[in-house]
Amino acid sequence: MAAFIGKKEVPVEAAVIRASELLAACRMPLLAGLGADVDGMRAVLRIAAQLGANVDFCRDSGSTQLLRTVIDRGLIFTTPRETRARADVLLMIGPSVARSEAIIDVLEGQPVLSAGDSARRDVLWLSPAANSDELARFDMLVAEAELSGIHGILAMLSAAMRSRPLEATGFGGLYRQDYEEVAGRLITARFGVIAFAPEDLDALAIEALVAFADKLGTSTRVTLLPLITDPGGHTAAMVSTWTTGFPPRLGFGRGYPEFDLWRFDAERLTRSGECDGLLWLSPFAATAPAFKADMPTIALTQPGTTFTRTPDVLIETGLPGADAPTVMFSSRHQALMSTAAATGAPYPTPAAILSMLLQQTETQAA
Amino acid sequence: MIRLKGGHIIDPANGRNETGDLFVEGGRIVEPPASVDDVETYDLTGKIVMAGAIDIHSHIAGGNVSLARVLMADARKASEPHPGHLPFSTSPWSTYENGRLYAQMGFTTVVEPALIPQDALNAHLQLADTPFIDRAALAVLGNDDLLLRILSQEKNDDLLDDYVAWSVAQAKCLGVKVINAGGAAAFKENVRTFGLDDVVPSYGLSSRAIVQALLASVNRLGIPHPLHVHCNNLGIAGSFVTAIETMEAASGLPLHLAHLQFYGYGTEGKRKFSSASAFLAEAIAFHKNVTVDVGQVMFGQTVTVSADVLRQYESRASASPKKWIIWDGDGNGGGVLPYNYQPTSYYNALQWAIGLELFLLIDDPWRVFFTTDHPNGAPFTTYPQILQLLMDANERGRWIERLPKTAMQMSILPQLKREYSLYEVAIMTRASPARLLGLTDRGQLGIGAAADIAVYTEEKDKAAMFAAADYVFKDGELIVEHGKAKPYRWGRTHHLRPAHDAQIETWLRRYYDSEYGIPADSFAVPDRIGVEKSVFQEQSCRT
Repeated sequence: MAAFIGKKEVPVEAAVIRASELLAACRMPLLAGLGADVDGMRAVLRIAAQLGANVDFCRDSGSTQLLRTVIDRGLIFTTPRETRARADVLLMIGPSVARSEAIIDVLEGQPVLSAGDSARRDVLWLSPAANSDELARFDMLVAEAELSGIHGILAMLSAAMRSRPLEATGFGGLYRQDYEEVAGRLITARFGVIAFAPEDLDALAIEALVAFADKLGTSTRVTLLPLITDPGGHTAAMVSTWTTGFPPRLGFGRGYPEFDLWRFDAERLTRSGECDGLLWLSPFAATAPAFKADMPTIALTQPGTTFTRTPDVLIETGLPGADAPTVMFSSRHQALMSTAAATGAPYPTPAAILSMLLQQTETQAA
Repeated sequence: MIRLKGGHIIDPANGRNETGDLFVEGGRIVEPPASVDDVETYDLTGKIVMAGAIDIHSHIAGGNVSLARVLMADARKASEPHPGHLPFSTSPWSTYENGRLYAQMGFTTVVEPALIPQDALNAHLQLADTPFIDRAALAVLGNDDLLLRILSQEKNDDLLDDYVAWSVAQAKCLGVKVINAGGAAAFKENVRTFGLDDVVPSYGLSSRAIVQALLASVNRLGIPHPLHVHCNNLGIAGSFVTAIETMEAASGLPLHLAHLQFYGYGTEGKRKFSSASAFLAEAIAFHKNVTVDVGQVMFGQTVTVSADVLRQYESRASASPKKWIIWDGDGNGGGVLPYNYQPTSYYNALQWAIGLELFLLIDDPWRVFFTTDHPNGAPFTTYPQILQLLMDANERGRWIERLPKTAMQMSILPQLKREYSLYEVAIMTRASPARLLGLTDRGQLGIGAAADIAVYTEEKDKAAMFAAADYVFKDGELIVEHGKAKPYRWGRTHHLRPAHDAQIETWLRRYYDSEYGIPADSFAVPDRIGVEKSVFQEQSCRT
């Protein structure tokens, strides 16, 4: 672990002081990143409030797609535990469900609750390249669907549910009988669950799934299982929501947090030149911003991150939950969890560095 | 030491209603010192001095509350920049704004009444980030598979008590709540209406059996707060019968009924929707073991947040704007529906009147509690207006004139002339809530009590009086001056750790492993959840 001003290694304290000077000189700083743990996000928001900065903390995350749906339409959903113990029909959509630790727990269980005598579950998976080492051992019906045509696929499924006539050749890699099979199983489910990872779909497709569940809900129980596979981004969104009343993306330019997914999009802000300084945080992976940021940049990241432009200040940080205790969203449990450190390594966590930076920023302001 | 000099002290817990002094040191009310020469003094001549107010039922934290924040993210905006010393404090529905607004009204303790045990850490982090006030939460049980399994298969009181105790301790709660007992579990089996004697299909258990088992268990465990019950059939015309049957089902055991207004509906009149407040008031007078809070409705846009997932699902057509969230969670889950209470609506106007009727018809201010079921009946920021309506019959008359005549003709509110006194307000919002929750050193101003103190200027306009306290002290520190919050200070979250037999942990481990594939203590709240501050304060069960 090390800290740098330009290419020169310096003590962490010196890097923090330089970072706070750079931020103080900005008219409109941008705090962006790939999520945080609870304490890290608490500090990010305090810094943003102090500086009047913009905040975009779930870059490239499925959480943003899910958020759009919730705000526009709402949601009907359940937990992995209820799905495991209760779902007699499980429809999985998209390849990323295979990346979810939660879905393994689900598939390993039996629907013992409310299933009557026959505790069995039908599992269907609609996905391109629907083969995965993780899921290969589970018994399921797999259909190769082309997700680029997801809106058409969902429209066909909707038509099948309403018993409308379909072309035998189907759509999106699925035949009429595939659609009728999936629709038939959902209609007769006692407790049907449609699982998906939001990053595989867009807001419109998620909205269509909500509409399915709503329609089927007039006669049976069907609900959704959105599988969050980006725990840091989701933690950032949760902390932001209770702290400010809003999920990211946020701007503090008016002296209070404002929510706007378009205005405070980090990529747009850097492209348009509206922001003149960047604090980049990637606490869980050695990842640089995917967007070009030609402005003073401070980076708090995992060691080994490759930048196209050397950051003005770089502080390498420890991994929350491994090097130090943390509280953050768990992909497996789909809930906030407290984790003790595995290594107890003496590396500063992102939260610790951000707290130092906050203190420095507050001192400067005073 | 601080001297609060010459105020009118209203302290019903100690039978005090007189002009006098209070002395504060080390966060506590203390005996007067031998000499007052060097004591920092606040001259409160002409001011009203009460203990800090306590809200026993306000949804301010947890997954369901945050879902409401997200659902309405595009519809809200801060009204003004936050002062430099209070970041986030003007952000609507943020924990920071909640803490500031409660404190400025003179509230120093607030209870989140619906903590879902699997969501406990989320809820506690939110409570810990709510500044100024003390907090507590009630653990929701009664729709969870494990409890229903214990009741239907094991039928063992010791096992039941151990499970309830373990749940409260793990979730760091101050009591137990049951919400539409069995209704959420039945909804997962496609049941759409669920009354007190309806049965959860897979378990063969009635709602009545679940409520009675939890009532007895909470009582046996010595949890000071009686079982907090959200009855079946919320919001349905005729549901007053359910509420009264629930009172009878308690068979004399201590019982708290939440947001009774939502069960105050009869089936009379052209619209088959009438006031049943008189029946409820009579039943409460008879059942001395029962306490209630009102859940007053006020007009305007709000969002209903409830772990009664069945009733929320069945009400989704009334969502305004037209969007909603339904969560089939572990145990209860919940539902979030935006709703606009309109003064031109017969139904909404009658709901408003029924809440006030309950306040005015229930004679004993020690057994009726002041709530809007925030945000379900109205946001807690309407409290000052509601106090004015309770304390000023003429003000009620002015509201009644503006509301639909058809609704007011169905209400006895125009005939009710009772006005609450300041002493009764202090009972209802201070002394009685502290007693109900078992927080013996709060809600009162006796020697040794926590120095949670609110000071008001008496005005004819009670809404103005209660909207902004002159001074509020929390544990002896000044947190509000002339209606404005001082820099953040942090209260504590009160909780119980009821004892349980360690044997149940083996049993639970096996259950969690086989049914859910995860460790039993996955959702336990650790003793330390914040880096900056010590959050929890343990309270005792009755022995």
